[in-house]
Amino acid sequence: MATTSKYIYKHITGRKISIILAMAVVAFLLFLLDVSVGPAMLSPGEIFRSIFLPQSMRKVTRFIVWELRLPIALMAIIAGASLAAAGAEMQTILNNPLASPYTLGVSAAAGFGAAVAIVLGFGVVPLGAAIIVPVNAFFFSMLTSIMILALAKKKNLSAETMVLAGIAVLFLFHAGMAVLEYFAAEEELQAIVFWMFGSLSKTTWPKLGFAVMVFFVIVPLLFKDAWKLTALRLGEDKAKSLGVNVERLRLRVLILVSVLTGTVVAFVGTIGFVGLAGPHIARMLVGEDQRYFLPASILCGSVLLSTSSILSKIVIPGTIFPIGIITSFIGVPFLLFLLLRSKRGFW
Amino acid sequence: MRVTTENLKFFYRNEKQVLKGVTLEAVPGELTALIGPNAAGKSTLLKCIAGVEKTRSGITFHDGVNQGHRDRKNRISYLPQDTSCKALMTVFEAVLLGRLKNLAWHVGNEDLDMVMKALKRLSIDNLATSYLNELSGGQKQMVAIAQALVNCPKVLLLDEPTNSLDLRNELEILDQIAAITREEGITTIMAIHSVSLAARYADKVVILKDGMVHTSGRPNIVMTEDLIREVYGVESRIITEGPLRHIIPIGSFRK
Repeated sequence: MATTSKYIYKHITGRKISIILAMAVVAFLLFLLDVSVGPAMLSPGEIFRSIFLPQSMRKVTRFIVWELRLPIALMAIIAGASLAAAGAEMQTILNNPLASPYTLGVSAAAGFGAAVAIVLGFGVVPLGAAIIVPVNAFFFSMLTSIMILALAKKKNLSAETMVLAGIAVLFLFHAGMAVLEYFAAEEELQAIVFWMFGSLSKTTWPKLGFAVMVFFVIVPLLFKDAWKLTALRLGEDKAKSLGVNVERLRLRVLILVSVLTGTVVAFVGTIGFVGLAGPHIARMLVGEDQRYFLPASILCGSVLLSTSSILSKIVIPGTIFPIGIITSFIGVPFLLFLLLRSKRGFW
Repeated sequence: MRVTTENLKFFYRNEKQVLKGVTLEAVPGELTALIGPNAAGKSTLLKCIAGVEKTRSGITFHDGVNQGHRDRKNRISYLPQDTSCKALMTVFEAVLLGRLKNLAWHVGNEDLDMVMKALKRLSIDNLATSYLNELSGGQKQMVAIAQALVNCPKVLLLDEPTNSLDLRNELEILDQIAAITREEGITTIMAIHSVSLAARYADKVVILKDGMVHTSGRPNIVMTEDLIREVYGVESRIITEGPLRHIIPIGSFRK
């Protein structure tokens, strides 16, 4: 029996590991392509030499790679990963296939918080001008997440109703943004537009470093609860009977994903769809075991945002198309294709 | 492991009291059926014993140990009413989750073997790599039972295990539950709607009405036409055929 059970388990998990490794390779290749694509096309060799042997390259190439392309390409990887991880866990803890930072209004709330800091110079915590923008974004995303959790706890609240509530929140914060835009000066208006469309172009190494740090602090904490989160998909009562403190797990995970979302939105604005499509694609590929589902979601998010980043540079040569629009254009058809093709059903 | 509740009371937040002082006893190797009309408190009672709901007053004892004892969760398996799990996972993975408290990042051989044992016990090992949403209602219920058995429980709490199953699946699943209960000396408490099935399979029935125990005892003694009329408001005929008692509803008493 030991051999049979081990063989079956290896058969199930082996396939998932292969898919995750293949996705990691795809994400890496897309990252390289993202660095190479732009007004000045660079070969893979030039990229490698610029990264590992910078002295052997011309100053201008080094500048393009290190100052212009690498931070943006890496931010595409980390922002996509963070949004997809947040979406994956929101879908899990709320037991809602339509949950994502964007559809539940969390991203819009973070954007509004940032706009408040930009236009009014008001920070929920009295800190320096540079730091109040992400802090506000985080605070407002947190506030919205807690509101969603309170709503979710109400009985008989269907998945659709929750998303409708999220859309209401989204409109509320968009209306708030519109008010701020009305009173904003030209430069401030430009900064707000950046938030609403979502853009990787303002990435700097310190911002990237902060986003990476938050990601590597939060994600291991999510992995720590991998089995409990998987058990939650069996239903709340079943999870409770297995010893999971569901209320505490939900609150903890919601706080963690709010930190992830708030940080990313603070730096790249509201990029929709990655947090919704990434986890769904991952679920169809590797199933619901969070030990595989979470890394697969993270990689799907990175792949989606890297692809969008590449397309944003080549759709209209010489200009960078808003990335939020691209994510929807590639994410929606791909998700629909998978939904129609899937034999095992969906959610 | 003996399960005893003494004057167990429970109410949901801002709602009327569901359990108004339930006292019952279930013993190892016996199948105790909880029956009664809708909203009698059957599911809530099971949830309280399982620890899914925290009791506000009244205590549940297992072998004289307080319900809050750490080992309680290891000894009790609970099968909720709704087992229509929509998670995209295989049967093997779903049953493995029944051993949640043992699971580490790397799953040990013992856990894998226990899963296989539970699947084989219910003769569904051929479904190990099938996805849950590819299964029929009866197969899904078998998987849920395997999940409840994978920890070798001392107490098995089943809430409507034959819910929405056809006649054949209903009998097959109850045959399995009765056999496992007796062969492995498990204390099984099962909430069930069908009085006929309760009379057929249970060693003891506990009839709940309005959050209280109306009657309890051996089915062939306590389940009478008068009792059915009093508890359900339904006229019935009871036909005895060897060891079996068939309860046939005739019509509603409330007409």
